[in-house]
Amino acid sequence: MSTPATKFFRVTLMRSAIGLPKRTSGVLAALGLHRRLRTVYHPVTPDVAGQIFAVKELVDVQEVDRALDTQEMRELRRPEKGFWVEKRVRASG
Amino acid sequence: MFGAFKPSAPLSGGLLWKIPWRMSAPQKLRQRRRLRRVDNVVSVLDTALKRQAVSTVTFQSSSAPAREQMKSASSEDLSITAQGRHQSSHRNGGNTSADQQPFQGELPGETRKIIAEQARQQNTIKLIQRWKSEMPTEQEMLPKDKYTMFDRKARGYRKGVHKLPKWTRVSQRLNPPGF
Repeated sequence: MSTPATKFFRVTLMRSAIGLPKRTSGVLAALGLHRRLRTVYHPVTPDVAGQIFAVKELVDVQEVDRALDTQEMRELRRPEKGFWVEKRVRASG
Repeated sequence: MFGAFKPSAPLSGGLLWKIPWRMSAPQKLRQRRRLRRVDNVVSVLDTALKRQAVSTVTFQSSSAPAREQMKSASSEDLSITAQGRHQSSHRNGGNTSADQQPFQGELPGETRKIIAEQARQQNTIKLIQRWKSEMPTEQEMLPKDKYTMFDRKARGYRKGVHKLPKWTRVSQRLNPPGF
């Protein structure tokens, strides 16, 4: 018997809430979305769904299996180095 | 005086901004995309919640004492789906017959109760159920409703939806029936 796998909402703030009612920015803050293009993960529950629904015009949502942490998201964003090491040069003394 | 600083009405006067009375084709394209984006968000929320409910039910069934619960739940599920199908077909019929008049205004108490019941049974939330039952999707909307909205002071009772403040970040889909 295993616990049911919790899925996650991957929420990204696409549009800012500047000039919208205070309530909207309050919901965004509660979701942890403090600036545009910020991505957060929340478990799939009815209350989180309600929060996302309240700001549905501003965010982009996907359902994912796993929540990535900050380090992993940063690694995904990191561009290619542009070179690769074929053979290490032996340090000459 | 030429170029960007030629004396035009908005520049030489005080506060005079001009909003064209109709939307341009690219504006309409972007508007359609925004509508579809919101539809997509709602459907993602809905399917995720339903899937979550299914997975928790199967989890319960795997443990021995919850067998009975599972059985009752499955029969309930059948009734729900039948009801849901009936509701959707009913709604589609309504749309085709009275194409110009989407559902509008306060729900009667009975409908509200049904929506709450459905939400509880399918483990979604009332907000989403209500949105799905009331709001037309982008494909279902008439062009008239996508790009214009009701205004009691405007000629012909219609104005461009781009005159609505914050119109790219609010949902404005329904208009009074008959207008």
